[in-house]
Amino acid sequence: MRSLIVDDEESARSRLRRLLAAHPEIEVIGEARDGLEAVRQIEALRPALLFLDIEMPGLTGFEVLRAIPNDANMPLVIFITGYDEHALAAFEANALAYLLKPIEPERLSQAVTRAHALHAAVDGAPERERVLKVARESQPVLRQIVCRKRDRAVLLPPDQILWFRMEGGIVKARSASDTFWVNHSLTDLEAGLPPDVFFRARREVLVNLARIKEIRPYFKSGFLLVMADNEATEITVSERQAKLLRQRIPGL
Amino acid sequence: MLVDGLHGHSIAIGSFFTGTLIAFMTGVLITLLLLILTLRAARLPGTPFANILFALCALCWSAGGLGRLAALGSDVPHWSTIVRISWALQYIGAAAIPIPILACWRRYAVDGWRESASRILGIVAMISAAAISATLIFRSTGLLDIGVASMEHAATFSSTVLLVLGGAFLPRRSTPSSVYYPSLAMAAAAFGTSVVLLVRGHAAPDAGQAAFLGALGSHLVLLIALFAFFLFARFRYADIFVRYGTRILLVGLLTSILTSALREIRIEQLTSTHAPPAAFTLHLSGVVLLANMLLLSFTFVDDFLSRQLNRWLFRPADTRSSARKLAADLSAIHNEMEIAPVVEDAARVPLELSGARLVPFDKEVTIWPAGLIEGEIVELNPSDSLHRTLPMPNAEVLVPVTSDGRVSHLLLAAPGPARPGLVQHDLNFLRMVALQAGSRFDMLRREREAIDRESREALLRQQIAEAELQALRAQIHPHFLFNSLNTIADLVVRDPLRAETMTLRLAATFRHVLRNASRSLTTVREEIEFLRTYLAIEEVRFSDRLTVEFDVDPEVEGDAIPSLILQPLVENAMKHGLGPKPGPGRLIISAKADGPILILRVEDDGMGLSTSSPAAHSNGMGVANVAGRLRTLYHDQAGVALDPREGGGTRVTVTLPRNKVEKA
Repeated sequence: MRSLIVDDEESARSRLRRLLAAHPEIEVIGEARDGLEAVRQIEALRPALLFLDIEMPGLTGFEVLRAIPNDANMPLVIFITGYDEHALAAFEANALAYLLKPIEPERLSQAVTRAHALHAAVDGAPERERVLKVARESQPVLRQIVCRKRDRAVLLPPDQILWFRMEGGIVKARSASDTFWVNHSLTDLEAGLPPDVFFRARREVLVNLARIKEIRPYFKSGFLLVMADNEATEITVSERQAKLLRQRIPGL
Repeated sequence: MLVDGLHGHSIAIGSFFTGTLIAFMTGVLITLLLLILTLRAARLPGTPFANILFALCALCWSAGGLGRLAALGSDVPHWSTIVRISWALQYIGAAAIPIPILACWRRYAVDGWRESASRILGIVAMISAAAISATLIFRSTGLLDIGVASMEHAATFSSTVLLVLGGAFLPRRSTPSSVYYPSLAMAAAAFGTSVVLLVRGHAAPDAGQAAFLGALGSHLVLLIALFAFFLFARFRYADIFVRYGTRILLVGLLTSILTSALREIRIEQLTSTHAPPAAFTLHLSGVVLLANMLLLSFTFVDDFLSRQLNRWLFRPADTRSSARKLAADLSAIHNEMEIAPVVEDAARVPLELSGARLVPFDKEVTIWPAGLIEGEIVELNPSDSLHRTLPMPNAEVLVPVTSDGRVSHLLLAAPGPARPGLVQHDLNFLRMVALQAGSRFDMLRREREAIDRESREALLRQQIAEAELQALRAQIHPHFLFNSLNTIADLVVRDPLRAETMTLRLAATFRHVLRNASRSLTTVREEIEFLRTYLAIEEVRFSDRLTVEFDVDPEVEGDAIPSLILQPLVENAMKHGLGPKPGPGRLIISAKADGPILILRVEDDGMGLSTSSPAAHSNGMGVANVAGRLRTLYHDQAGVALDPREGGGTRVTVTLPRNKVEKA
């Protein structure tokens, strides 16, 4: 199985690599030192199995999982943690594989055997769903957004993004000067971002209220938002959402 | 019927004049007192209107007699206007007195023929009283010429006949004996008076005997009538009246004895055996001795008499033992719900009430009499609209129970048939019952508050203990331990020497934590040393990614600080400041003095404060924990502040008063 090791500690990675040497069916194809590197590696290498540390700089393990495409190529996951009671409870409840630091070789071989069996199974979708569910529940708030442009991926804090827009089935994020695509659905973003900052202007647009330059009345009782990007992009607010916007911004 | 000499034999004034005058004066005082008290009680329940009429009749009799006698004494002509008016007044009183007494009896004559008999007697009494009164008035104005003596006889005999008839027939066997026998006694006394009068009028004794018989007979009857009256016509101030009435009566009696003694000791008898000056001296000394004895005995006799009368007339409840029993019962109660039945029993049983209820007092529920809210006893007329809102509609007396400085409950009392009117003594008892109930309520409330306070304190102690435990667990996050062990597990194979160093540092870290868990203060030096060790482990774990700088002013190294006060801040900085930031991070820990203030800082160049990031919240929690500990130790003299750092990142500043510790 092509596997990727994700851990911010060099010693932890080297130890895991050494322990995995006892399992010839696992082929370690790479390592990542933080969350963003992990996302890039996953997309570049398409591993079948992740050894994923949760506490990492940049993106946590859960955020990594929420940032990668949820498709048939999504790898199986073996979580690794030092001590995190809440995460452990979630893994137990959802029958997911996890390893505790310092990693015990017996536990590792059990997890590997389980992953191997799952890998051979016809459909890995239920397992993937459970992994994503735990990731979403364990860390509901998105602190960083993985933004991609061609083969490049950057981390942007949400307050630097002016709006997210669904275009042709892809969610695009707009910073002051650039446009990226992201791997989150608008619903996922709306749930994970602070509700007092991000506002669903229309079904397909989520705007950052802090980055609006101007609000103009529009047809009927709608609004036109002029954004603070270089082009001063205009975004219309649907009639239904305009009511909510009035509640949100007193005196509008 | 008094002193016949008033018209006719002018010798009259004789030896009984003074005694009679005193007796009438006493009578006026007593009846006046009675009238005032009945008028005052008129508004209160349990006071029949008949009481006032009775007092008025008795006053007429006494005042008329006194007026006539006084006029006689001051040498006004016989049958002058004042004498005639007084005479008429006196006998109008005598003629009308059966009306109120019959009215009082009427309450007990409730079945069939007795009821109609009482009605007939009442009507007859009114007609005869009116007729006699009219005749008396006409006679006194000289329009009619009827014999004075026959007028007097007519008034006296008609009253006697009515009273004897009423007393014989109206009260039944089932009437309370306290009413039945006095009624009979009163009828008998009235009958007796008439006989005396007849004897005096027809047997024609000498003038002295006649005067004596008249004075004695009339006043004895008045006395008997008065006391018999109280037995069945109780009213609120009856006990007060008996107390003061007895005193007035006693004074009158003693004065009479004394004046009689002065006049009646026959000086001639003394002079027959002694020389005149010696006889006079003896006589005088005897009188003075008597006067002194009477004066000395007055208080005792008065006290004894009023107590005996009170007991005999009102059968006062044994309030003292009832109060003692109530106090004992109440002290055994520890639940407010159980107070009411005990208090109700304590009020009801001794006073033989028909009902007593203790109910919570709600100021808002209805319009209460103003006095009640201020804690005064309120008595209700039968027509009072308050009856409808009360839980006990027949309640006559509302006694407020005061606890916690305000009226909290009401004791409602409804008098029973045995004591139709509650006298002052009974009210005092009810007041005492209410007082005891109120103080028990107060005591129970205080007890409950004390228990509440105790349990709150216990809860607080438990919370503090838990918070301390929590704080201790937060000192070193378990994550740190397991990650360090994981690192060591790797180093053991790759780099045994570094593994050894790491193990030693880990041991040092935990030794410091364990040692300081039980004591609250350490020195800056020790704390910084601990942080160095702790962060050295972290530096190994994060190798190139973590740089730690220390900036400690040597001057403050010996200062006392709460142990492990910086560690949570450092851990926070690592986790939330540096943790999420990819690439290398810097941690700066400083300690310096600013006058009497010690300033400790933990700075990082990590993610910084952002209102939209959860880091702020977690960071806030760490800061809140530290702030809590500082507050416990220094109250408001210490503080912790969270600021953005210039050039990015976060700065946490702890300020506390400088304090040297003796190095252990």
